[in-house]
Amino acid sequence: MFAEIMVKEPLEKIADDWDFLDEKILKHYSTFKGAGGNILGLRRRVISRDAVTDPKKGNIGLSLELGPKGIVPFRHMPLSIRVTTAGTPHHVPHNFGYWHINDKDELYLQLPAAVPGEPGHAIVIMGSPRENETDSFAWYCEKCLTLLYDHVVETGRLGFDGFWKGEATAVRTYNTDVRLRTCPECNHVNRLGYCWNSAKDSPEEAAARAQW
Amino acid sequence: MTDPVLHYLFQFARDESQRGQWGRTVDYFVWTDLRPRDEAPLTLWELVPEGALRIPDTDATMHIVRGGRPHHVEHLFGYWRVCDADIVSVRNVQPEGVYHALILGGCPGAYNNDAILWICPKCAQQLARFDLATGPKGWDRFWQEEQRRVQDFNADAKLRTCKGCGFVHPLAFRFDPAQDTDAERAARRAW
Repeated sequence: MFAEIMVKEPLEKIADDWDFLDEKILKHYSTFKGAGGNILGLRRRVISRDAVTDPKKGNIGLSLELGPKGIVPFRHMPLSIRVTTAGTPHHVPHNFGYWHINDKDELYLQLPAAVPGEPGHAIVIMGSPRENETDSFAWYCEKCLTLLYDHVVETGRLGFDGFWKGEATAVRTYNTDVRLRTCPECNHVNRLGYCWNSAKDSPEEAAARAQW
Repeated sequence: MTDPVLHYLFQFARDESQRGQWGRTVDYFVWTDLRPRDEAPLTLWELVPEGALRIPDTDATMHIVRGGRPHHVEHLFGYWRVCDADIVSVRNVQPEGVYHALILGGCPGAYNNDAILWICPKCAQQLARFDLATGPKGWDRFWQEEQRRVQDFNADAKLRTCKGCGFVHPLAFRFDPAQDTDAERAARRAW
């Protein structure tokens, strides 16, 4: 119906990022990056009913959330949108070795390729933190869920770049101090943490990633 | 697994009875659907200073309509809408059909204003525009307002007639197809 008022110039000239799943655009969001009012993470992963497979990390299709009744596991399913609500500690085994707590909802979309076995798109969408809003990197005792250590970054004030610096600082601090990893309630010594980016893993952190 | 505090899951292929319904989280409004592959595509349009921008219906697309930009989805709602929050539009073609999602929001308080408008498809002149301050309860108000504005537009041929070129705009239709009159159902098929 709008053919007569349609823009005649090539779409890319007006909006070069009209499709965020285009490989040229996608690569800019392989970690996390702001896009308008949201922060996006866009990754190519093989998505099936049984697994979400990252080429470096393996199956990261299981997520854990910490609720009033303890740990709640859920499995990411193809063609679903799972929401981790603001303030909920969440951990994805083999993907990042801490519990992430933020002040924004996080949406996880799993879009499989039309051909089984081919990489599809795993999308994370979350609101940009503002003002006094924060991201936290926390560890809870794996035996009794006592809070062991919590590193808070004011990402609303610092910008989302502060997230990655905060993550590295939190993991380094936690891993280098066995007292932080020792539960004050049950004395269990917890495993090492690790960052989201597996390329930065020490051998010990890579071993921890393989475990939890 | 179904802790009500934590359990927000939107399936793209929802039950037929939930068609046309939006879900809500703390920060987002989410609509999903599965449409037959042989059905007319839900083509997304945006209005930019240069004219109407048609977003191609590729097999896997994720497009962001920036807050403040008028947009229209063919056969889904018969008007142009302007939200002040971003909308993420997702299209994913699978053998069994075409999956769609619209995700509105991102920040609490970001969705404060909404608007419905119609433009002339021949000369792009604005025919009518209705603005609505939303706020915490604005989502429900939007749909009440949508009903009223669509009815008013359809009932008033003068409102639908372009003052610039005389073209008479086709009837509008609401987001929820269950509310269509016969004439609106025909309009939905057409645009």
